[in-house]
This record gives sequence, structure tokens and C-alpha cells, in this order.
Amino acid sequence: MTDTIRYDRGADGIVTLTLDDPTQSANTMNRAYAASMCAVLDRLAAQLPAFPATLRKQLKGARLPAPEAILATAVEGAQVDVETAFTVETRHLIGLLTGQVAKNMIGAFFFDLKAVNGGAARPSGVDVAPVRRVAVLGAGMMGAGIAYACASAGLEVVVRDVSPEAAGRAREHAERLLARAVRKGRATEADARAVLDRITTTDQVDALTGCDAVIEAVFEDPALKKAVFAEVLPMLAPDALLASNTSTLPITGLAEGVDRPADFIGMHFFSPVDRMPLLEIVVGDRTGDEALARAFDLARRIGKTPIVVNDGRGFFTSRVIGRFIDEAVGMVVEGVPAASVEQAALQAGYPTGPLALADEVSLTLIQRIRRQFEAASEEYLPLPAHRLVDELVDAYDRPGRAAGRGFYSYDDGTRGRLWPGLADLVTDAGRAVPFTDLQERMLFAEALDALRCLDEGVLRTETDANIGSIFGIGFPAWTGGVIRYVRQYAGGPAGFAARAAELAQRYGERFTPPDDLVDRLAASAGRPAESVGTA
Amino acid sequence: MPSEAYVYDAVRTPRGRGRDTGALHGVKPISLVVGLIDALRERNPGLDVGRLEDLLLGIVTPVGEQGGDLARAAALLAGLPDQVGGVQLNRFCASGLEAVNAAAARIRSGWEHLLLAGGVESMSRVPMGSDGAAWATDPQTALATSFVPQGVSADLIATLEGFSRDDVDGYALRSQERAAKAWAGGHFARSVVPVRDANGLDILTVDEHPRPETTREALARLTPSFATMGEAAGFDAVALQKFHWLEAIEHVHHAGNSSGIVDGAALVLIGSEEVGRDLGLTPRARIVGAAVTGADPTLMLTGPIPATHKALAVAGLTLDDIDLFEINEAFAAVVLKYVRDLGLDPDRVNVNGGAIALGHPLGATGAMLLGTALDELERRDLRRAVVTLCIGGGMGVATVLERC
Repeated sequence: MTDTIRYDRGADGIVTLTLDDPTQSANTMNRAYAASMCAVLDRLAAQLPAFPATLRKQLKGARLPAPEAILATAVEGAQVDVETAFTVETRHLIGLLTGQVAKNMIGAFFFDLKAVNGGAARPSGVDVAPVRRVAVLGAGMMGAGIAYACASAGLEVVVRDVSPEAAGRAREHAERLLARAVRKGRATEADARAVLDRITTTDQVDALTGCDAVIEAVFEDPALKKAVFAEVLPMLAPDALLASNTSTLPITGLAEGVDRPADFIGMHFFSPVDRMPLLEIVVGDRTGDEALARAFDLARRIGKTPIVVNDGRGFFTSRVIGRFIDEAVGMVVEGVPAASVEQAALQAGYPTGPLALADEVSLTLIQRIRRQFEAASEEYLPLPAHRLVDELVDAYDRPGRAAGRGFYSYDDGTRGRLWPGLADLVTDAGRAVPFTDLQERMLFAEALDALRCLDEGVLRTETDANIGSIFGIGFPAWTGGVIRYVRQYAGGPAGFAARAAELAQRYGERFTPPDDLVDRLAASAGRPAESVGTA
Repeated sequence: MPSEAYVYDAVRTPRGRGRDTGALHGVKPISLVVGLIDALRERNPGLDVGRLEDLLLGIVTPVGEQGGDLARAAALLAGLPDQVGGVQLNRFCASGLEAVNAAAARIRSGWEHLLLAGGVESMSRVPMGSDGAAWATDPQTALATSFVPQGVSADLIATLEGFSRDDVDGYALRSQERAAKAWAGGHFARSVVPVRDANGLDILTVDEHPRPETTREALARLTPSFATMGEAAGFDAVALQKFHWLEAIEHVHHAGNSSGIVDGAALVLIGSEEVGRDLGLTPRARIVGAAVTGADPTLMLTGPIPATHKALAVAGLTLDDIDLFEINEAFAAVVLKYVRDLGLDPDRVNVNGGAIALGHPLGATGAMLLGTALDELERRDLRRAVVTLCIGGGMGVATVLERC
């Protein structure tokens, strides 16, 4: 029978089948198909060993169950008939569906996200006029990004900076992004033109006349921020929303610079604005419900996911990500190889290693923010990590990525190797810390500080904490968010507390869990967003 | 009555280059084995094949013409009596020594008295890896156990140990020099049996793989073999995720400082004291200790170190009692690491070169090394040798040999 099928394998490995007799039975056709499949599998087999390795490379070592199960299903299924393959697939799928990671991720990406975007944090029953014309103060990276986001959403935007050239950077930024969108077919020339037409750039205060919202995005200096508000206030609509894009400066303090603090609010955008979906809305002590409602509506209008937090230095996101970087740099100081610290974070599921992240943020900025914290609070604890950052910036002139040197060396913007000099700045070279401890020190440092944010009222809800941590500061997505991480830890909150106590004993008081942690989480359990496992 | 396990003889074929231009490419693997059985019978006229009980063959790629329990087929084709069995076994690169150790243990059990053990691999005819492997191709397994190919493991060892390209090339050069000197000095003469065709004409009489003309400069020009695989396919990432304190793997191994792909076979005649007395065979050595052990599977190639310790403990000996060491030169870094960790005098290790110069016919190498060590002990009139090989999957096998 098989002699009626011609089976040719080309140099490229592609198999061509020719059936000599068109009247052949279906059975013969099936055999031909089977033969061609064997040839395909043959070719595939040579590539197989690279697939798992490539997956591990792409996931940076994070052991996520779904991608692994998908690969396993595809390869295992290809060895058997299709019915059996479906059974194999089902077995893998059941394992994923009933697993903790799926519960975590459904909780965050379905329930929490829906609650946040649906306005759970927006004051109910507050009707406010939508923002139509936005003034953006400062055309730096953040200001330009905010202007583009607003214009893309159909809002009129006036960007003001100290000179026409400086303000023009906002337009150039938009042109660049729009050109890319057109090139990739995501926008037409006409769309792009319309967006650009909505952006006005100026160095004149008068040009802001009639704006019903202002988003200030100048340098992070309270005096400067107050000054630019004072300058533009007379031009704006009398009830204009007054928003400051700051990543750390307390809003209540900044609001002292304006005569109507009820309209003043923090809108903390994340960089790059066009790609980061999160917006952290910061409610100052005197911020009114109307301002919050308007800021929330504006955030939704420009497609952002707005979490709402109360005031406090660093708010939620900048404060908690600081714990992550401090812990990581602290481990380097202790003598843990810097490469291990990076690997520990990546394999825990963080998208970027903490040292690479610190370089991106810039060590100078980290240093400045910390000094602001130090100046503002007597309780601020000096950490060994701070010494290392100071040395890198002040003694070794390694301020971060922008300068081409920080924890890493950079060649023309591309990250190279870790700086070998780090090894000389540690207290206990070659110290061995269990890898799981490295990972959990970072995860726990963030989770414990998030719990404190809840205690102190900086965070209003666990939902905001979970969404903010994943979308704003790269907390591993598989956890379903920073507070859900506590809830889902082996043994639940009690298991988390026990492990935290163990870490406190080994690595320092900062890991001591709040006394009432277990009771408090038990009391608030069972709300819709938390009960996904049984929903 | 349990007996010591004696080595009565050891033979091997020359190694042919493992490609279609190699001298042994036209010779079937079964023919290599049959040729050695014939040679053993010729060399040992007293050998009554009626006393033989089994033929154990290490074969690492036991498919196609090396599949289907080639050992039994070879025993039959060689005209051994029907009662002589045949078994193929696979412990990757140590299969040949595994066969020897298994045979020795069976002799020491007292249940059997005369066995043939060795291995064969025609790498030019049955390509390495063509038998598949769950470890490499099953995603669940590979992901859970951090599978990487051996070359990446070898480069990982070099990186961890700080062996530079110059270090590994230097070792490779020494292997070539020692092998050349050994051939010139006739050090392999006792074991090597020419491969002849059916008409009695020589096909290959010497190892075909060595490049005695190699220079340090020539080695330095070779391109690393595992860099692309490591970087593009993600294997470096897998290794670094486990050996997380390293930032990168330095790819220092290449065709010139890794074991050569060759064709070849080897056999060792192992028996009890009683059978030797009965047949008038003179024992050349005793196998006084043997061991298998596992080691980190991603690092993969450090198994000889714990295996050596374990085999010495079995024999009640220490490193100081050993005169010569034969460790398979799978990759230069494997030998350098072994010498460093055990604190050995390099002049007692692989004194006649190794697989970098001579080649590594996977299933046969372990039995070949045993013969090489035995010949050299006799030539130098020394007493004991350790033979060991690193193994895929992260294992090690070692044998302690003592002259009678």
C-alpha cells in the first residue's frame, strides 16, 4: 500500500507527500498523514532540549506553573493519539486550575482589577464635571508622558516649561510615540495628527487660561512645586483640579502652597507613562471628595488603573519598593554575591533585579529620597544598605544607569556586568545565605511594609495594595499582589507570621510581624476579592 | 566459594575517527566486538569458551545496529557456545567500566566464574543522542532537574574553578604530547588489536584521532563549541539560575580540548581464581574496589571525585596508595578539577594522554582505560591504579586495580 505514496524530504527538512492514485482509501491517506507527522516530529525532536531551557531563560528562572504545563502538554501530547493527548492536557489543566497560583492571579487580575477600575475607591454619589483641558507643568520625561496620555485620550493639553524649547520636548516625545504607532499599524496618520493637534506647548503662563485641571510634573522639590502652582493658579478655571505628580513628597505639605487645598491631590504616574498602567492617587489631609472623584475620572479617561491611597512620605508604592531595594542592597553589603541577589529576585518572579532597578531609578535619586525621609522623621532607621549607596554615589562616582555606571557597568546604554569593585565594599565576603531566604527577605520586606501601610492608613484597601504592587512596583504577579502573598503563604497568615519571625531572628527586627496580623487578616477575609478560591 | 575478581586480559581496537571519513566507518559495531573475542581466544589458548558465562557490553546509543542487545548477537556471531549470554548496559560514558565492575561483582559473588566485559560504540554509524532521552527532551523532567548539555557543564566547571582558556588548552596540548609519546614508545602495544577485514587485511592498526602536530597557537584559534548553544538556547541561563553567584559562563571548551568522537571497542576477561587455575590463565590484576555515585546533575562532570573516594574506601585504601590515575578526558576542565580537588601530582594522571588526543568511543572507553592503566602499571612495575569516568546526568564510576 505504501508504495502508492511518494514521500520526499527536502534539504530544508520539509516533507512533501504525493499520492499516486487519487482513488486511494482514507486509510492510505491516514497513513500518509501519519508518515508526514513522524517526519515533523523527527525535526522537532532535535530542537526539543532547547525548549525548556529557552523557557527558563525567558522567564528569568521564575518557576511559573502555566508556561511549564503548556510546554509539557504540547510535547507530551505530540507523542500520542489525539484523544489521549486531550486527556494529558486535561490532567495538566486541572493541576493548574486547582493550584494556588491560578487562584492568586485570578484574584488579582480579574476580581481586584475589576474592583479598582470599577471605582471601588471613588467616592460614590459625587457628580463632578469631567476634565476637558489639562495643563501640564514641566515637559520632562514625566510631563511629556502625561501630556501624551491625555492627548491620546482626546483631551486638550497645554504643556508649559521654562522655554519654548524645553516645552517643545513634550511634542517631540508625542511625535516619536505616534510615529511608532503608525509604523506598527496601531494608528493612522490622521489619528496621529489629531493627537498632536491637541498638544500645545508654551513657556507662557497665559496659555494655560481656562484649563480645568493642572498636573504639575516639575523637579521633585517642594519649594519649586509650590512656586509653579502659585504662578499658574490665577490663569486656571476657578475650580480647576490641582494635581501634583510626585513619587514621594507628602501631598498635605505641598497643598499648603495653594489657597484651596480641597482641590489639591497627588497623581503619581509611573515611568514610562505610556506603558505603565498604574496611577497612584494620593489623598492629602485636606483633599475633598470632589477632587478625588475628578482625579479618579480623569485617570480612567486616560486609561489608567487608579489606586487611591492616603498621604504619607513615599505613599504606598515608593515607600514599599524602597524596602525591596534596601533589603537587596543590604544583602550585598552583608557579602552575598550581587549576582545571587539579582537571581534570587528574578527567580522569585520580580521582572527586574533590584540592583538593575536601582541603577535605572538612579542611585542619586534613591539617596535623595532617603535623605528626605531621614530629615522628615526621627524614627528613620539607618541601614547598612544606605552606606553602600552613599559610597557608590559619593566615593566611586557610580550614580546609576544614566551615567553609564552604577551597580552595573553600561556600554552605550546596554547593561553589562556587575561592577567587580562591589566585592571590596562588603562586610563579610562570600557569605552564604540560603537562596530561599534571599528571595523571601525581599518579598517579606515589601509585604510587611505593605501591612504597616494598611495599619497606618496609608493604604485604604488590600485591593489597592495588590494591584498597586503588581502594576506599579513589580511585585511578582504570581502572588496576586503584596497582601494576597501574605494570605496565600503556606499555612496562611499564621504561616507567614511564623516565617517572618524566623527571618527577624536571623536577619533583623525589621521582619518582626505585626502582633495582630493573623487576627486582622482573618477578620477581613471572605470579602469578594479575597474569596476567589471558592467563588 | 566467593573469590576475588581477577583481570586475566584486556584488549581494545584502535580508535577510528568518528565520521564518514574515519577508517572504521565501514566496519559494523558487531564486527568490532567479534574481532576482539577472536583476539582474546588467540591470545589465550587456554581459554575454554565453554567456561564463559556472559558477555557484558556497555553501549551508550543502543539503537539500530547497536540495539537489540548487541552483546547476545555478538556472542553468537563470534561462535561462543549457546550458553554464553549477552547483556547490553548503559551508564553513559562509564558504560565500559560499569560492565567491568558489574562483572567483577558477579565474580566476587561466587555465583559466576568467567565473564567478558567491555563495550563498543561506532559513533560514526550510530550518532550520539539518536536514542533520545527523557532528561533532555521531556520538558517536565528537564525543567525540574535543570538539564544542560555536557559541554555547558564543562564550561560551567571551568568558570567556577577559574580555569582559563589557556589552562584548558594547555592541558589539551599535554594530552596530545603524552599520547604521541605513548604510541611512539609502544605503551599501547599490549592491548591494541588491529581491526582487520574478512580477508585478513588491516583496516586500522593505530589510533586515528591524535593530532601530535597540534600547537598551543592552533588550539587557541578554535571556536568555543558550546557558546551558541549556551547563550541562544538558554542553557547558560539554566545553569546560572542554579549557580546563581556567577554572572556568566566562560565558554572555553572546543573540539581541541574536549574528547574526540571516535569508533572503537574494548573487552576485559574477568574471572575467579579457580577458573584461572583450571584453565592455566595467569591473572594480571585484581579489582579491589569499585563504586558508582551521583553528583550535581547540572555541574554533571564532577562525579569522579566522590566515586574515587568511595571506591578507595571500599578497597580500604587512600589516595597515597595509588600509583596512577586514569580519568576520562571528557573535557579538559574535568581532569583539571579532579587533579585539583584530590590534590594529585599531574604526572601520575593520564600519563599516556587520554580521550582529548585518543578519542572517546562512549560505551567502550571505560574498558579501554582499564586496559591502558593495567599496561602502564606493568610497564612501570607499579602496583595500583584508579580508573574513573565522569558521566552524563551527574554520576561517577571508579575502579581500583591492583596488580597481582
